[in-house]
Amino acid sequence: MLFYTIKRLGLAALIIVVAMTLLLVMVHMVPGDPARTMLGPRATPEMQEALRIRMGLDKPLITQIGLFFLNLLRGDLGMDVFENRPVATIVFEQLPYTLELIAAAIIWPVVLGTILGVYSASHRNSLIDRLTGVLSIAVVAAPAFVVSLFALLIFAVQLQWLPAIGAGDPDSFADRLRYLALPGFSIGLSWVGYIARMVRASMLEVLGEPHIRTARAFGLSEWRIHYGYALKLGILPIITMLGVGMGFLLSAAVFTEMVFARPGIGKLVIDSITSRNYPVVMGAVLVSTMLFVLSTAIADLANAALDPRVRKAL
Amino acid sequence: MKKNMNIEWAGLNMGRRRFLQGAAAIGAAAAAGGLPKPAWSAVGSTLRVRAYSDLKSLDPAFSSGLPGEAVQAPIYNKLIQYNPGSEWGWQLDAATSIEQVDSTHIKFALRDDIGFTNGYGAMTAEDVKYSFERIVDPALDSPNKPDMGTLSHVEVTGEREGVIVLKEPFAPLWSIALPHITGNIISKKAFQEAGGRIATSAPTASGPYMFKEWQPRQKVVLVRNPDWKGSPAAFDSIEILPIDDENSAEIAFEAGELDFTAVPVSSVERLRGAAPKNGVLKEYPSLYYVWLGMNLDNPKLQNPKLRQAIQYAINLPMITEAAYFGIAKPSTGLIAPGLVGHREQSLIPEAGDIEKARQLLEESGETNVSLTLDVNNTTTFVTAAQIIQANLAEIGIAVEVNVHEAATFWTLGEEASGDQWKKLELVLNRFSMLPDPYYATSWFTCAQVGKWNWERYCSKEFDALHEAAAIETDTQKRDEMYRKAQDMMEETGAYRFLTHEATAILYNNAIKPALRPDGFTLLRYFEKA
Amino acid sequence: MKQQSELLKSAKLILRDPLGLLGLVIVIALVGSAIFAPSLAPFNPTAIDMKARLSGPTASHWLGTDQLGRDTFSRMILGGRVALQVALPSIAAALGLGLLLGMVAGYGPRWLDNAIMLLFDTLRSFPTVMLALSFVALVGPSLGTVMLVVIVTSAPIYGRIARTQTMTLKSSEFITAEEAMGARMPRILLIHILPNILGTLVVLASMDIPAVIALEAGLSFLGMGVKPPTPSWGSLLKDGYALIRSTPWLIIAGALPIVMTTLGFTFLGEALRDVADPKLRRTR
Repeated sequence: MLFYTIKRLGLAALIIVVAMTLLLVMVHMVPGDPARTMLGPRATPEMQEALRIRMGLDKPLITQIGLFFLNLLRGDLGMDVFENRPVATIVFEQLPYTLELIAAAIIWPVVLGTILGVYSASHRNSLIDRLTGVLSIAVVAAPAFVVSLFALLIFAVQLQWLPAIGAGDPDSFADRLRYLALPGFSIGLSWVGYIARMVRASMLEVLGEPHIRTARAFGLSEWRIHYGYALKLGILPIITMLGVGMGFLLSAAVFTEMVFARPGIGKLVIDSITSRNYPVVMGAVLVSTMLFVLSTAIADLANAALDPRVRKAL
Repeated sequence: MKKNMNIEWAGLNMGRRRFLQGAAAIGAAAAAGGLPKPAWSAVGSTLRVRAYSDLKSLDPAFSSGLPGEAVQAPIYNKLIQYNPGSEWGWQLDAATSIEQVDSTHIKFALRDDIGFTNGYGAMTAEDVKYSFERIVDPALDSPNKPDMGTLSHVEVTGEREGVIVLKEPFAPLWSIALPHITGNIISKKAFQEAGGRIATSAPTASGPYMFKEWQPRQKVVLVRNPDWKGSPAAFDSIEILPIDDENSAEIAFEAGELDFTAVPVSSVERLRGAAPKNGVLKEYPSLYYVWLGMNLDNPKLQNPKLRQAIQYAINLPMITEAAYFGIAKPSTGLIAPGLVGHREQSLIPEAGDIEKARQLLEESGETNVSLTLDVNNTTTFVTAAQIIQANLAEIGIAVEVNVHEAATFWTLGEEASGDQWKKLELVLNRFSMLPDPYYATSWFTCAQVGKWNWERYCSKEFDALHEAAAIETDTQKRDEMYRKAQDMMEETGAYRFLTHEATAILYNNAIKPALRPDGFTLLRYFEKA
Repeated sequence: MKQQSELLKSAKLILRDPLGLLGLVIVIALVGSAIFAPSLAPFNPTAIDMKARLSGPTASHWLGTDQLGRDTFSRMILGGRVALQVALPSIAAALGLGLLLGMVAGYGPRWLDNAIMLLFDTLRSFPTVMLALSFVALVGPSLGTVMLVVIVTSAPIYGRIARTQTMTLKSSEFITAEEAMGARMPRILLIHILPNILGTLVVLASMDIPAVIALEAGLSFLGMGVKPPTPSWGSLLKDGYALIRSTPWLIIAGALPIVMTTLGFTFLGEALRDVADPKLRRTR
């Protein structure tokens, strides 16, 4: 297990290195010029060149890559020459907003989805099973930005229960929670059904396995079998999914942050790409990639720790 | 009523012509000094307005675009400010008087009751000198340098008196340099202490409001400046919220979370019928100009008859109707109504002339013409592009619409980004504008070819006209010169001017917004209703 | 002969499952309407009619019209064609690429496995939007770009599964026997491993079709999808979002088919999986 852990984390680090290198190469190839998009029409060519130099874009690609990692090792993500602030500050300012959004978007679907999934698995083909099936898929397909917009119109404009835009008073937990409700709901909605289906499927699979049949043969109650054994194994895929899902959540966060005018990493990535503010692109993508890679790694490790079947295979 | 109590406001309702002449304006002598504060200013409250993008810089030399000016205008003073209302004009602010002595010398005197907060002392002519001269200082590299035009230096003649000295006459001084972003007067002492430039926090303020905090991607908070002696600030604080999605901004207004916002033109018709509770809808013409350009250096577009056929095939009312929901009006050129140099009519009729277009195409001898049209990826431009596509299909020209993400789009005609400019054929373009015609023609000169001039139109005559018009002080002559310049552009066949767009705003009836004629906010003059 | 009866039995099983049947009907309707779209659509989907702009549903325009007066229903029907044009080839390509790399990773030497897995994980670790934006910026927006994004983002998923299954099969007796008889890697992969893992992956891929269609919608929403005036569900959604306060019909015409397609392919896919997996069939 220790060896596996080291190996898995080493892989995570390697992925980040490869990913960032790829990104730098892409940045190098993509048309569009930060000097032009950020300085505006009035800038002279000399000013644009000066800016490129300040951003380090005049150096050969290989040097840029080298410098990026060298600085990274010192914990330095460079400077945003437009705001004149360290990129790390900008990124870590936004990170908590995205983290709390992801938490809000995942906790309630996991709880609700698991309950529905377990119920569906033990009451297969019942009305609720079928209904969750249909509804969950229908909701998965509804684009997050559409859900967000309608949630806004209903809960913020019509009912006026919840605030429409922003992230709330940073010092008040309750206030932040209030501002999280709608975006968290909008992203999470599509996950309820997804999780329910997954729990259902994996529980059914577990229920079909020999050791459960053995348990049945030994006369254990169906309740014990369902909730004592099957559920424990059945919710394992959720852990994997949460790891992988981080990537999807980050993408969904982009749209939601746009519609709810919320600060966050997703929006930072898009804004910095569209303005070709490369140091910020690198910093923001690095953090979002790290989030993703680490959460998959943690999911894999958790799986290995929890699931005897995976552990044996190591 | 409130306005009348305020001398610097009342005395200067000069109207358009006066503003356009600019030079001869003489400020009303009285300063606002010892007027009693109206009682309503004591009421506490917050004004919440939407900006389309987040704060980038609080330094007048380094902020670009309107959102930057929106934040800076309430905290810094200028010698003169734009008049709120439907006609372009200006009024005194930090100056008690300002007078054009001759074509290159402008004498000004400052009010004696303006100070900088945080102990940076009274505003003096030294501050004005520092503020203006740093903009044109090559060492500072300010992207806003062109706005200051031909400024040579500022002569300090007394503690609160000075003379702005120009190298040569510069008409836009009165319409851009002084009342817009470069006109913001900053504290020399504070900026020198900060190392010559600031970023996103302001060490000191002198206007009715002062900078309190910036929460990145959330809001900028300004609060009432207790030391301000001018006409009092109406609100305890102003929150400026960056919301780039117009639909979201409109919804936020309906949810009661904004007091002022621009709304999508697509919403105007619905809002005219039923504005949200307490909401007031207003429509403003804007200054932007949108046009279809043709790359004169592209081999496919060498035939002048072909270019003319394209000009005549395009139907402007269809575009303003479909892409702007009838809110924007067709335009005649670069220069919007209300500004010097505006043409009442373009050479080609608004709706075009499809018969004439067909005839021109036939005369051109070109057959099987197929062209590409490059556009930015917003719904408005993509819609307009599809109308153009349909218009040109009617005369037998096939158009392929290429949609680009903004940053890529802005490289298409730029020589510095590679060879793709050679392949550029038709392009749907939109430039922003300041209230002086000089700003518009400056992008279409020979020097701009391959930078912002993507049609690659290069005419010595046009360049000379542009240069001469900028220093012409006779408004009548200036007007003719700019009209001529637009005729010349249109005659090349490379331009079909489409629209100046429009701004629709929605505000809470508890406030009384103060806006420029193009709908841009002058936050320091916002009041309670 | 035996295979045919097996197929027949499977078909019967699908037809007996009401949701599976529903899924099949939806999928057939989708494919049918895509094939016959030009004759099914009551209007030319790109014909501009300025007098009929932004109308609600009427007798002639069943789902109203857009800002150019184009018939929304016709655009929706034609959009289905575009959706399948994007989804089918790109899923097939992703599947092919994923299978190839996955099998090679699972069967080949350890270093190759590690290299391929590293590539997969790296590609997956980028936010999709980020990848899409880069591609669009590089090669310009078009159907081809959307397809490229789909291939790059989904191939790693199929690849991973193919690899795992290949690894399981690799240690099985019949492969060991083949190896002992001197069979080469390509032969083993093609003749023995591919047929064994293809079924599962095809079912999985067919269930991914709606996801691909939704991805196209998302890209079009960001203005990176098909070229105008080509109708696609994504472009309907984009226009619909911009005009959402004026007319809800564009959003409905964009979202409804995506929801229906998802339902159809998921139901059919689940029914197929149940049929393909005897273990599940028994417990049913």
